[in-house]
Amino acid sequence: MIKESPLAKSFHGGLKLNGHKLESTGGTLRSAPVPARLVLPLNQHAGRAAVPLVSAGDRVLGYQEIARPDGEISCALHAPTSATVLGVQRLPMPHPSGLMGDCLVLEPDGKNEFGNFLPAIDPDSLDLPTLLKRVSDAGIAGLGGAAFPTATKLAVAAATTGITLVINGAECEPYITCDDMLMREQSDQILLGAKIILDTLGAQRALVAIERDKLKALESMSAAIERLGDPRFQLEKIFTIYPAGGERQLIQVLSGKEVPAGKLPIDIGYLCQNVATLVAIYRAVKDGQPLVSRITTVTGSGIAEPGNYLAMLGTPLETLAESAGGYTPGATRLIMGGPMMGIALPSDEVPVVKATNCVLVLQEDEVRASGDQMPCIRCGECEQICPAQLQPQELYWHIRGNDLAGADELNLSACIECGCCDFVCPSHIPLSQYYRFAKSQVRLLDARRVQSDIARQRFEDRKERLDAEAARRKERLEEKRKKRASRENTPKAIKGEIDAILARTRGKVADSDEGGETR
Amino acid sequence: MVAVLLLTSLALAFGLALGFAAQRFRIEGDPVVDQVDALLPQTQCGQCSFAGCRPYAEAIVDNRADINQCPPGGEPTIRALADLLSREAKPLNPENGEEKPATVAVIDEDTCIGCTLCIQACPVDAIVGGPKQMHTVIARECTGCDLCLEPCPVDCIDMVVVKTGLAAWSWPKPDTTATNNKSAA
Amino acid sequence: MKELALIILSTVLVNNFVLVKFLGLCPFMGVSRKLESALGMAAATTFVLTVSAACSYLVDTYLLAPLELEYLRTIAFILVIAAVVQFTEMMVQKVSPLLYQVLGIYLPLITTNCAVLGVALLNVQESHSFVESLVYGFGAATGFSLVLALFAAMRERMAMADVPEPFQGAAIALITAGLMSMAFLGFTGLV
Repeated sequence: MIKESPLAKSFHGGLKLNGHKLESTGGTLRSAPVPARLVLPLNQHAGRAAVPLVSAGDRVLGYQEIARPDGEISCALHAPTSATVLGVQRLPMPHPSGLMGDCLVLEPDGKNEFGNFLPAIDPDSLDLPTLLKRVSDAGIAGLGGAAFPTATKLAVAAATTGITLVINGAECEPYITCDDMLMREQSDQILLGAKIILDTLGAQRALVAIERDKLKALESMSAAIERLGDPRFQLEKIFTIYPAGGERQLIQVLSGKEVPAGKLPIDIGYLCQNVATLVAIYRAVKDGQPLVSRITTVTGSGIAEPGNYLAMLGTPLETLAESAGGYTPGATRLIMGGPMMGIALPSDEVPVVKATNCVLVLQEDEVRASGDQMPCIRCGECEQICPAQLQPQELYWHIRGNDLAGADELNLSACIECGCCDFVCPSHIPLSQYYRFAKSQVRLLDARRVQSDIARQRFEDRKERLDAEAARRKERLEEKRKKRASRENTPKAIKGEIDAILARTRGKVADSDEGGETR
Repeated sequence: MVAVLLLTSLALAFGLALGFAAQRFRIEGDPVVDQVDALLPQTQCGQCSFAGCRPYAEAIVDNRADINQCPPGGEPTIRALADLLSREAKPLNPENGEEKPATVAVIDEDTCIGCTLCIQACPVDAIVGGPKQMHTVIARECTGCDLCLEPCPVDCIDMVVVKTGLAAWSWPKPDTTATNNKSAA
Repeated sequence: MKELALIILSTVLVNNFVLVKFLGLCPFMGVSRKLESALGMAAATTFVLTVSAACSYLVDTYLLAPLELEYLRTIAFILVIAAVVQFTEMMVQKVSPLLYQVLGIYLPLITTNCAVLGVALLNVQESHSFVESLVYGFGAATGFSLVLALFAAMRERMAMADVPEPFQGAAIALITAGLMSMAFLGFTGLV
């Protein structure tokens, strides 16, 4: 059933941006070639890094698990194709810090042999524990960009009944079109993946959210919904506004309800899944295929042939750029992600990871120099545009004055780092950078406080123990003194005591002789 | 005469009332010291010139010590204390030490003689071992206070900088100097 | 009734004790760095002002006037105020030891706050009745609290702002106070 989403249900602020979508949606989905080296960072998801299961010299088949999850919030890694393991190396990570991280490096052997490690399961006869185990075994993380382990997210959602599944095909950030292409070419698989979740989690309905200017995707998805004939599915055409694709904003658009700050969408009965994640789930169940590749948009004026590429995880970005025709002259900035929320990378030697939804290359004249800041004129534009209804100006002043506690009180943690305030600031102040800085500082300081609380507890426990020992010693000494004071001081009594002690000692020696234990 | 009597009796009356109130509204302990102590890093290192974090907290509340004497706490602690007590946040007093990266103690097991002197010195019981048994530091509980270095007779303890990986990385603060008193040019 | 309303309007806005009469400037400048401590101070001063206005009236009407000891007014009022402040200190320490710590020396300094003595003496000068004295004291305290809260909020913002070096600290605070005072001049003629 196709329903128009009323404009009235919307979120505060937001921007209408120039989409730059047509650059990369011209052709069809292409496959990137298998590179000479596959570099798989052990930590490419939210949570703890995966633990390697293979070592240098091993030969692995495609789909073989090469690293297992560590703890509750973690993800497995699989070999994208048959290869020889070169080992774990410290290599540059696609991370804003530019730090190195442990990566499993594989050398594909060119034979492209795949193993059958996860048996196919009939999607119609799937129960919840089996689904969760399969999603976890397949190493699936949210492919919308946040890379949160999907098994954990589904497990939390399963605890609530009567939920609504939101299928996020909004893709509101400019330049990114990977979800659009997926919806055009693999619409059935998206819905079948969603159906698996509906059936196993007992969800009431699924809302397919697509921006209204994605005409081909809308056509494709509505036809797929017709074919499926499942009355639980509902297509929602939403207004094209950034950041409508953000989980919280999307739920607000579709339902009019706001997810409370500090809580998750599941707390008000909504589960949001990206379309690519749903396809991954479907493939993991139906074909036993783990997550080893993803669609990445390679675009921007710095790329010769922009388009969407199905790339293996671990493909170096320079290989990907080459298959997209290489860089144009004047290409200066390499960004992983979109122009609003993406991170600038120092080099193209970093690999494609689960979170790489887009590789954006910009030219000199499109990039603003970072030193161009001017003083804040308190115009209030940032407050009007903030989708989370925060006060960016107040946050800015507090963070600038090192008052992180004050910023925290103003709900800094509710900031989704969308970059809208950055965009509209007439003084070109890098506002979202301030918030990213403050949020990470607050997190670090909280961790420090927890540590110091533990240390204080240990210190006080130790003090107690030492005091108790001292008190006991004192008691014993008091007792001995009392005994000595109360006994008779005649030579006979003293001799009696000495005899008793000697007898006791002799007895001990006799025992130890018999026991054969020497000291 | 009447004036003197009046004033004296007024003063007496008020004095009695206040004395009674003082008894009635007495409080036990000092919750402010607890609040200050909660903000200190609990390394119990003594660099502040007091015998531990709690004595330092008590000194701060009594106004015997300034809030900028704690090197392990560094700037965040000074700021938190300034916020709590409405005092001015000053830079760390160089006489008490300087801000250093976080360290943990590591015992060289080949050299350790099992004397337990370091175990007795550790304020948070982060060293495990017994007499003539191998001693080892529980890295997670070690606060880097340096108190175990002195007692060790064979000098087998090293302070190693904690490797900060991605988990401890944080975004850098954007440069604000560009906007200070700059006219739009 | 109208009299009381006029007294309140006059003491809070038109003849504000801090910005128009320039009394009680010590806590105004000293405790206004943070909004929380300023509000705590305002609450303490409100209590002291109201109670001491009432007590001063009673002492003056029933002890000093009948015995013709009007010349003892100042010393008697100070005695009353000191006792009330001491009591307030005890209450503050009990209710919020942190506030007690933060206010520090400014809490006992309420004794020497010229606004408190000023209210007591002005009540006598204006020949207010008991209720009028009480309302006058309460109104003065409300005006004081209002201005203290406004000023503290402004100073918090100024602490983070880009103030040129020669003006940082007390200088910009005093300039702000002066501007606030000029703003409050706008209420002249309201009553």
